[in-house]
Parts: sequence; C-alpha cells; structure tokens
Amino acid sequence: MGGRSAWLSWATFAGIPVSLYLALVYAPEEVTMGPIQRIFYWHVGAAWVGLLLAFTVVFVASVAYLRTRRRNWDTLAYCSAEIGVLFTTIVLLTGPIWAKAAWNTYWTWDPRLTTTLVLWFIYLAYLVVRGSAEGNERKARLAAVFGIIGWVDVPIVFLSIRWWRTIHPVVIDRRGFHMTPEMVAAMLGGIAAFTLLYFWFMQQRLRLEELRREVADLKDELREGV
Amino acid sequence: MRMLFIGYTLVWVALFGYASYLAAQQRQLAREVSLLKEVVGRKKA
Repeated sequence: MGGRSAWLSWATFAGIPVSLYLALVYAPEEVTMGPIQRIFYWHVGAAWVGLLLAFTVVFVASVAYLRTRRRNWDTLAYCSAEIGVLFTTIVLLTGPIWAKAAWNTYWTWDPRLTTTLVLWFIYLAYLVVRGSAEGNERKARLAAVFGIIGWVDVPIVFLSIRWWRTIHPVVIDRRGFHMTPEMVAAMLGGIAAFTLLYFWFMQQRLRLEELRREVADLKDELREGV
Repeated sequence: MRMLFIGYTLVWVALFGYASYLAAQQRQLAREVSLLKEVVGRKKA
C-alpha cells in the first residue's frame, strides 16, 4: 500500500468515529424533534457526497470520455456513479426516518424528495446501461451521454427548495446556518468523514476495475495462444 | 431513540456491506490473476 493510500485509509477510519462522536455526543439535542434529529448529520454528509460530489465526477468524467475516448475516464465515471447511488440510497433511507418524527409520515411527494428519487433512478439506470457496456464502445458512449444528461437533475434537487413550495427544512441560506455552532461542527464533521469515505471507496473501486482489466487481458493472451 | 439507532444501523449496514463486497471481489480477482499468470507462464515455458 502506497503512502498516500495508507494515509487516506487512516484518515477515513479515524474520521468516521470522530463524526459519530460529534453527531451523537457533542451536538446538543434539538428541542422540538429530540434525539432523532441527530440522523441529520450523516444525512447531509451522504447527500453532499451522493448527490453532489459523486454525480458531478460522473458528469465531468463522462464529458472527458466523450472528448478524448480514453477508457480511464469512462471507468472513473462508472465507479463514481456506483458510489453515488450507494450514498443516495443512504440519503433516501435516513430522510424518511427523520421525516416520520418531523412530518409524521415516512414519505411525501415533496419537490426535494421527488427530485432526489428521480436522480437515484437516473443513476441506477446509468449503472444498468454502463454495466452492459463492457468492451462495447458504443454502449460506453451511450452511458456517458446518459451520465451527462442525468446530471441536469443535480442542480434541480438543490434548488427545488427555493423554486417550489416545500416542507423540506432549509438549514443553510444566504444568511448562514440556522443551527448552533456545535450543530454546524457536527454537520461539517459528517461532510468531511463522508468525503474521505468517498475517496477511499473510489480508490478501492478503481483497484477492482484494474484487476478486472488484468484478468480480461490475461484471458485474451491465453485465447491467442500466448 | 430507537429510530435513531435503526437509522445509524442502516447506514452502517450499507457502508460495511459495500466495503465487504469490494474486498471480496478484489480477493477473488487477485486469486484469478495469479492463477492466470501461472498458466500463461507455464504455456510460455
């Protein structure tokens, strides 16, 4: 394991318990909702990584792939989309738990929730298309186009609470954070820990693709009779 | 409190499950690579 890689692993596995401490112990209990509000700190972290970071990487890498046709960009987009779907799933799991306490319902067709669900389906479809594209450049190109078009939903998710009437809370706006400094620290801790986790997952996922490529190359070599 | 526990458990299951999946796949492919390298080496010899 290289120095940078080991550093990332250590930082990631130290960051998670620190973030957990900030969320469950350090941050004060919210008076109206009680302890369930503490799910918010990882919910926001997962939303930052899944909805914004991972899918933006898919968008950038897909554009780069269409411009250069270099396979590395396509692989980067594919790996990031998979991790993005994982974190968006976490957003969709933790959101309803909070919603049950705050809105007395697990799900409502609120613009923020609906656009997030649509985004999750878009990138799930991307994974299906890209998953069937192994070794097929035309399908990889199609997946890249899908990754770019799908990204259009990302700003819609974030701006939905400003564009439409919504019951989703707005905790950050032009006036700043609507939380105590301890709550802000816990939220930023969650964002930092999940960002590190994203890069660690990316490193592991890219290594997997590298191994898959190595297996395919060796099989080709054998088929050609060495 | 129970719902908070369920929430954090779900997140852990998702993260740990994915990390385990990646580790298992890496192990399996690394084994496959070493086997294939051995076969290729034998054929070359």
